Amino acid sequence: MSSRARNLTFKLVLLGDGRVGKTSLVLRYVNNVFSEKQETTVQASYLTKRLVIGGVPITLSIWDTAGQERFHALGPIYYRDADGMYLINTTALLVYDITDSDTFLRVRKWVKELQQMASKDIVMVIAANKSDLIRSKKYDIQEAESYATTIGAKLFLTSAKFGTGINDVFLDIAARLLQKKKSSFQGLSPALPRKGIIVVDDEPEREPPPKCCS
Amino acid sequence: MLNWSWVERGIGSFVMVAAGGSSGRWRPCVTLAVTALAGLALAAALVISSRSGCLTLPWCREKRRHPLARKEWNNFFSRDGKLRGGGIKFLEKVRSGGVDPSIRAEVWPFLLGVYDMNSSRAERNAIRQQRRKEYEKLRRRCRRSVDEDDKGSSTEETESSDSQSSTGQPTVANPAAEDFATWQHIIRLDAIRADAEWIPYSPSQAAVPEAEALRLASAVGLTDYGDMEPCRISHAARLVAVLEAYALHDPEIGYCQGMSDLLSPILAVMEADDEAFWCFVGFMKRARHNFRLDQAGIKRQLQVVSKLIKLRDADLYQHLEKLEAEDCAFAFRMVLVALRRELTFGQTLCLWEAMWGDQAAVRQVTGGGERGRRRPPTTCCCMPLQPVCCRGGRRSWRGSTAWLRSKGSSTTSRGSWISGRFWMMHATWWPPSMTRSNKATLVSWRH
Repeated sequence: MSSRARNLTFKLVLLGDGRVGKTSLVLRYVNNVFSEKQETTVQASYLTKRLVIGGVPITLSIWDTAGQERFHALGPIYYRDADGMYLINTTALLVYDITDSDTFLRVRKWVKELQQMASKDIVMVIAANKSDLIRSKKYDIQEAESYATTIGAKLFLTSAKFGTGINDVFLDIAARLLQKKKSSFQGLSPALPRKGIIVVDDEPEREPPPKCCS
Repeated sequence: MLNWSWVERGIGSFVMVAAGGSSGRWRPCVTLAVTALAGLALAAALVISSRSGCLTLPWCREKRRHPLARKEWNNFFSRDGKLRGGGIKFLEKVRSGGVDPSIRAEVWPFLLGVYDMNSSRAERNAIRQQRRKEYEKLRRRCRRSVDEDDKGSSTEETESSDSQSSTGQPTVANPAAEDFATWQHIIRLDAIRADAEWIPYSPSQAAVPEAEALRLASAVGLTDYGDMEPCRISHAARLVAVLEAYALHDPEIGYCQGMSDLLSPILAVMEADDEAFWCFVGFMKRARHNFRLDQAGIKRQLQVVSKLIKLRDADLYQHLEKLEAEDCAFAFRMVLVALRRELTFGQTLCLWEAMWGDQAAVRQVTGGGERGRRRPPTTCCCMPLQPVCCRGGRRSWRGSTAWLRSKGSSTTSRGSWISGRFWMMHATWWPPSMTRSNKATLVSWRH
């Protein structure tokens, strides 16, 4: 393996009902922009963000998906791994609209699906978005918080519009993945490549990305 | 640097076509010919490309002609309102230059098969009346469903919570679970987020009074429009009305995100909802396969894109192979919304008109049936596409080429090099009845 500093790439998929603010969250985080008139996402789009945690450079490769289930129904080519496994090496950021309880039901549905189709220890984070609207409408975050605890996920209150809570979400994800990677290194588990991490060289075009610890 | 490679590619492609094919044995000759011709052709090509500010595309060197003007359009009709010569000349004109904005509302129903090319004025009036009634009937059905939803929302919630609590059963997204209520919900979410690029192109609709906009919104039960401008509210309400009607008209497809992108420009051109609806139905005759639940249509299209690139642009294909992106999954959105998100509004309309004109010409010659072996009536239908895509103002290719970055392509210049070629996606909109080899033949024949 290369002797140069390795670049860690973590894959992240945003999932959730339509118009809950998935694209707005990502665009606020990656480009620090917000548009009231954000267009519908068709199928999926892809963005990357580089960050450094505790001196370790990390790249988050973020798949922002469409809200309609039809795009997820068959062969989700955009978040399938090279080995064809479904959501195995992926982190899921589940987004719902805090002012619309139906969108939380959708999060529950996704959690069930992920638990069945992806690996059991998949990293899941829930973002309760549109917190800027909570003054105008009633909301109850207690239930969501206790639900998040039961599935081992963390819940964040976010507002893509005002940019609140966004960095916390992504930093938490990155930190948890980094922690997970470190512990998996210590454990020397044979299933290492399945832990949500792909180690790639700095220049991706030079050679095909080697899987970590192989 | 980039310009040079484009020019070389352009010449290479020209010589290859002139040599009569793209088979491997011609490659050495082509390389020699390119080298010999390069010196002469380069200067000219550079002058042309710097003048128009565009790149030389490998597939097409012809320029867009003038759009069909009002006077020409009127002259195409005989006294009883029939298009002379079955509309072949008219279609040829549209295919090579598009349509002047002032006559789009009259021309589009012909291009989209709402009116038969051989119909008389009287026949068209009768069809218009009948179709209007059919549309109104669909709308009445939609309204009934909205009312039923309001009454029966409590029972629906019980049903959904039942399915939630089912034990052990995977709640994997089941496409069959989509029903009219689901479509209505998503249609509304998408309608109020529709892009507003159409506004400058449609002044009369942009000036809609607030009271009228609110009336339209309440007629379709649209409430969540916040503080949007009246013209956007009325556009959203019209999107809801027509998309709901379509979902009932074509329940196999229903509604899929991306369909609003295809409808929005039609609404901006057609003032009457019923006319817009039938134009949309005409558009969806081909496009609906891309929205199928099993994704069979879109997968087939992406295969065709891949084949076309392989056939016409070996270098690009090689690059895609290197990235393991030769399945062209990155072009999913481009194909699905027919480049609506990649091009500006004006460019999109021009591209679509050329595409519709092309399809109409095939229909006219083949009678709409399985006649894959026959040639379309006129030559190069891709002509208008080069200027469409090269005149600058490309909107958001990066959104689509980002897919390639996900595959490891880090060079941005390479990104634009790739994106500049995807106007040819149009070629994948050939009738499904045609076999792939036929398509390939057509493509090489057309250029």
